[in-house]
Amino acid sequence: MKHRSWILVTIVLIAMVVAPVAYRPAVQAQGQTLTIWVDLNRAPILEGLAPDFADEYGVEVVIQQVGFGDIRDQFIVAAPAGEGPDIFIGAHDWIGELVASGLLAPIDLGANEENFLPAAIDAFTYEGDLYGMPYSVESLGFFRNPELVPDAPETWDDVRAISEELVGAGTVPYGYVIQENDPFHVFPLMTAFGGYVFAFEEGVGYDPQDVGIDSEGAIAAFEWLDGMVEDGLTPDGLDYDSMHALFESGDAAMMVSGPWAVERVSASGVPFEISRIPDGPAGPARPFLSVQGFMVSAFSDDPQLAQIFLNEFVATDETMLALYEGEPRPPAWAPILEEIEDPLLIAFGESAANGMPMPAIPEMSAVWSAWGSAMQLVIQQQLEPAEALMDAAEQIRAAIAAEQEETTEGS
Amino acid sequence: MNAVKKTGRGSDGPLALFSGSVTGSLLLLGGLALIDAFALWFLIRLIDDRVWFLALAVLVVTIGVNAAFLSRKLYPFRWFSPGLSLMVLMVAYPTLFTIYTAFTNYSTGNLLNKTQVIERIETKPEYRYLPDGEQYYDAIPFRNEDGKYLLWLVGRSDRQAYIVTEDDEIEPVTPEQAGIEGVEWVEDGDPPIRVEGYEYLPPEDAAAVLAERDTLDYGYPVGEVSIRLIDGPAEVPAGYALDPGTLLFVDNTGRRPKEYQAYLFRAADGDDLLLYAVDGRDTLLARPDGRVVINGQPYTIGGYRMLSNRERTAITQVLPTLTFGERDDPIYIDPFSASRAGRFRPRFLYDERQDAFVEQETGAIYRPVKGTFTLDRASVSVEAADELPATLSPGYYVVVGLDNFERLLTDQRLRGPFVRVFLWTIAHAFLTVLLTFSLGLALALLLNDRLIPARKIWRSLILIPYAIPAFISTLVWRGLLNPRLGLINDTLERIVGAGNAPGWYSDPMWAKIGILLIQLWLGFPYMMLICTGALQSIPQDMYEAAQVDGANAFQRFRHLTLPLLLVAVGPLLIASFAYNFNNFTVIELFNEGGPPIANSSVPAGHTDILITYTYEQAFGSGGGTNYAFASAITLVIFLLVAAITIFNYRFTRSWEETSRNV
Amino acid sequence: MSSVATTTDRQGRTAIQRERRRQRQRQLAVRIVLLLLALAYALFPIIWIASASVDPRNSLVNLGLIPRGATLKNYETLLNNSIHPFTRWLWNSIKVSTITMVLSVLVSTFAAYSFSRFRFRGRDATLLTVFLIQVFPNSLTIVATFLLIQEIGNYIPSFGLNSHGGLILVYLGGALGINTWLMKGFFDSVPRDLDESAMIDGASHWRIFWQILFPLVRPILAVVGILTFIATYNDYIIALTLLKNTQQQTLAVGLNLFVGEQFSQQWGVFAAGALLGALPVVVLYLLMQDYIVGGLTAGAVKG
Repeated sequence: MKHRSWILVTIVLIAMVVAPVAYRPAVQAQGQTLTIWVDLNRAPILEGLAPDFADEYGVEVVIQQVGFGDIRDQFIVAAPAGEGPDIFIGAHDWIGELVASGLLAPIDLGANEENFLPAAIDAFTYEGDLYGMPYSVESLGFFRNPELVPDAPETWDDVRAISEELVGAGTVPYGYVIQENDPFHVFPLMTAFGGYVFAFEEGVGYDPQDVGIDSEGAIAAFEWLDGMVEDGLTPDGLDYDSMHALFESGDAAMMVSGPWAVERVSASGVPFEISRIPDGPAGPARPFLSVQGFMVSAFSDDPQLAQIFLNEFVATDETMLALYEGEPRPPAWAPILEEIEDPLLIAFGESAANGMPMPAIPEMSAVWSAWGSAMQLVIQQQLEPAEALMDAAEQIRAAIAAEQEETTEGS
Repeated sequence: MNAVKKTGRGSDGPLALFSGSVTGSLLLLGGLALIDAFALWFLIRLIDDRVWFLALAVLVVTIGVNAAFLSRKLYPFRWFSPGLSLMVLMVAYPTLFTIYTAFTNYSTGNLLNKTQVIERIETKPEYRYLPDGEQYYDAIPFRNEDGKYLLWLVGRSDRQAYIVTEDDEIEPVTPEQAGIEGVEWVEDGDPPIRVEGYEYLPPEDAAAVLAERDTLDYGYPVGEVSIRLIDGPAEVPAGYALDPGTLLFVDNTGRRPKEYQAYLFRAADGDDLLLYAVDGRDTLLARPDGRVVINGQPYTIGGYRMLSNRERTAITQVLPTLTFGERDDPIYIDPFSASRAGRFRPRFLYDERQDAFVEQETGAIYRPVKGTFTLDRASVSVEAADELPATLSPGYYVVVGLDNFERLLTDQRLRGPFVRVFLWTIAHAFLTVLLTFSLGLALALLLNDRLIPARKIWRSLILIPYAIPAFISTLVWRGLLNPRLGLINDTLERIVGAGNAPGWYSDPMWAKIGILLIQLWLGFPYMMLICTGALQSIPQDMYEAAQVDGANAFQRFRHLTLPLLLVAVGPLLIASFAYNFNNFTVIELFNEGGPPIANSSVPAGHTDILITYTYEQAFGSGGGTNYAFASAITLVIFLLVAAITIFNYRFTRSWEETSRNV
Repeated sequence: MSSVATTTDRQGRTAIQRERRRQRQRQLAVRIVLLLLALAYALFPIIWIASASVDPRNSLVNLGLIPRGATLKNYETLLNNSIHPFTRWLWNSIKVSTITMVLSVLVSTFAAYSFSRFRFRGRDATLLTVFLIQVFPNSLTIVATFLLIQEIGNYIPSFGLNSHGGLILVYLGGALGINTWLMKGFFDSVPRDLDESAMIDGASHWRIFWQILFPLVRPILAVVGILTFIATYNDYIIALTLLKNTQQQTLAVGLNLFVGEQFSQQWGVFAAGALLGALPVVVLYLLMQDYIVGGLTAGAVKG
């Protein structure tokens, strides 16, 4: 047994000699930096702007690429631990959740505010405070193949008539194509028929108590869609990619899609034109607006620096133009928007003029999947529109009730 | 050392790892000492910083490793101490954390800890108030040679300019401070200003005066300037329509050098020159005493001068800590803005004694309720209470006991088609394992035949599916199975006629078959690989012995290959089952659990498995993140899997026993 | 199969042999047909990906096995852009996966040997715990893993966030359970009399392990190695969470950037990347195949 205690003593001795030598407090010295998370498409643009900022402000901008779909989730993990970015790019419908968790710092635009489109500022405003500096505002538009459909249809009835003619004559397999379970793309159709998700009041916002998924207008819109599928004018089983594939191969004459799709449709070589989304019996279609912008982390080490970067460097004609030229999305910066003369952008702008902000209220989480399922069941001809939508509305109301019960319990 | 040598001889000696040689023992000891030294260093620092969990983990691991290497009884542990150490560090903690989370309210709105929340609520710009009659200002910082600061303030409501320093109270700006005393603007005039005590020099005269001087220096930020007379239109820069005989001034103050039209004035009582320059939008006034005003904004005030962009970004951390004006009611710079300043005060302050927030205007108290500071309505009048927010945001995470599990059991929305989903979950996992194993084993056996030519190439090619990340394969299959456009239905329709091909997206049965097809494709190369390995480690002489005994091929497979194979891969099949029980990716990416079940009380699909179904209920799509509830679901699913696993484990044990008798 | 039954009748022997040969050829033909079918099943989606990678349209549907036009545009986009350094990502992935593979195989072989060859108190419990931890659904552990690595990185930066060391540490911890289980199974299938007889000859455990068992289980070492390599190579979420610097990212994370946007996925580039990314795995397999397949030599059995 003797040798064993000897061993232990040796170990402890060696350890004690080595340990203090190795003990050195961590050194944290580095130049002033500003970390920005940005997706692949916009990384090169900001990467290109970084040297200018370093030049004028003496601060290095570190660009870290994070997939757009991952930014929010990664931010939630990293920010509270002090490892997140100072600034990141995101969509306006993220703010409800991030603000509720205390992860975002409000943005003070000062006098710059008047240069932004009011709709974009509204979209990034949550409970009276602004949480993002918008830089693009997008909405859906109506795509058509001008060789098949020379004139833009005015109403959804026109869309049906044109489809009947084209399919009847055997010119194309399908007239109008749409994703099978995507509320985002069907929303303009619903609003044109008078349907709604939540009652919306200008200046007040959405009222989660008034669910309009099973409103008369919504049912009418789904009946129209149901008829299209039944008569073989619209196919079932489509997702975003296959919807595009049909349009891009000339097998479908019309669809609804966004500015992001212009590049791929052009690349396909199919002739296309974009116009305002057709009206319905209840008036113009109202697509969701989707606004993107810069947000500032509440856990930024240097929030003032982040605000200076946004207010003095990004919110300028030069930077906003560079952002637009790097990736042509309709800008939220009015001086640039006025100068742009891109006919496609103007066409989207006409639809956007009637757009409404995509709800950022937490209740939306209960809506998307029920709404999408209803759409799928109708298009797959498994349920009648009224029945499917009433089921969905029922599910949504139950979910909202349960959520609210929980909140009241909590407080 | 003799003692060491002696005990080291037997295979179970404490230092037997190196066959009992002295060098081996020394190496071992040295290694252990190094590990301990490192662990001790790490521990001291961890304890110093009060990182208790990690300290505990390191301590446990170190003691464990030492015990395993120094104790004879713990000899077997020596072999897996490296592995076990890693597991304790890297796996046990995250797992325990998830279990802990299941008993908290860690979710959107409650993602921070209490310290962070208290700091947030106290500093958050949204929770501030300006006393009556106060306004916010836009502030521009100036600094003098002693490092003291002055702020040039412009009221956001009254648009008036003020000045405040660290010592003196806020005052409206005087014309001298603004650098515009004696200046009078002339609408559409040439020159556009008149200055008291100065005489305007027309371009030709100015050129003559300039020719006599070496330099003109206006100090910060203009510095030495170059002013020249344009003689002909050829020299006029693009964008400017200047007459010949105009003075041009090259500015280096702004973001980019630019050129202005310049006007020079000479002091009536001397040779001093005053410069005024315009470029259409911007104006610049430089006085001979070094005071410069750009767009109405002075660059120097008294001994203070405006900070450059670089100087300002360097002090963003310092400036918000300073106070300006009156000592007991100071003006602050807002850390959450590029320019805002004012007499703002935090609206809610934390009182440690009461463990509560106090509203500063009314004295209302907010006490923590399940991680959220909630208004105590008894602390204020009813009218005041209605005006105040009911809770403060954000909340912090706390242990809430069994709340999440209660919700799991009582939530009507979760019950719905639960049994249906549960059965498919099991069927899906079981069939996936069965199919992949069967095909993998069949291929391994086929390729085990030495007569097959180019076996290497066959095997490599068949392995490729496994080398493609599962999520792209799933998406590819989704495209292949597309009922309208997919290659598969395209081909099938040519055989069975248009419209008769299976509805992979809409028909519940075909959707399930589709998922199994994908799973089979994703998984069979894995099974082939492990079966190949396993077949190879079955000693050849056993087959020879069996052959001598006259067993035919099937008998040999049934009684020799299969049992031995199962011993080797049995645990893996169980693991594979457990993995597929929770295989979120494939189902979510293929069809999100669809097609939807009609007339269901909650959104649910025919191919939903437990994990996709419950996640859908817990999060919807794109909603908040309820980690706590998800952890509770995970825990319950884990218990189910664990039960199945332990049940299977008995079989593994029996296989293990079988192997010993072979 | 190689041993042949003995018979004294020469003529009968040739007849039987001829019959056997014919039967064997038939069998072989059937087998090759079966293999071809399996190969077709395995490869047609791959051909489809290859077709997508040279197809000028950025779509995953409506593609034939033969692309509608061939372009190397996607490969060019992938390889010539400093904003997404594909070759750097590829190298990072190979580096991290190889180190993880080697260490994991080593550590789990030790553990497996111990579980298979020793009977000690707490063995079953430890084994079961190791396994149960392994089947714990780990989709939610990522937050904790992040915090843990951050904490470690505060003291040892080369094992912290934004370091390959930290990433490897997490992969090692994650792969150990399953690998130990896998190898224990194989150790179990090697008869104990082999090492028991060696033990009687006075060999230590260390010798038995290295000289008798290690060569015998070589096939499974190679299998476990490849499985670990592939799992590490394809991991997305852990690498994404721990690494944020573009230059450090791994292939799976990098490639995902191309399809991360909801409506502007670059499928063509992604397919090209996935195909090129699969190459190292195939090469590795070709290298290791000899161990997997020819792992059992007469010499090793004799020990």
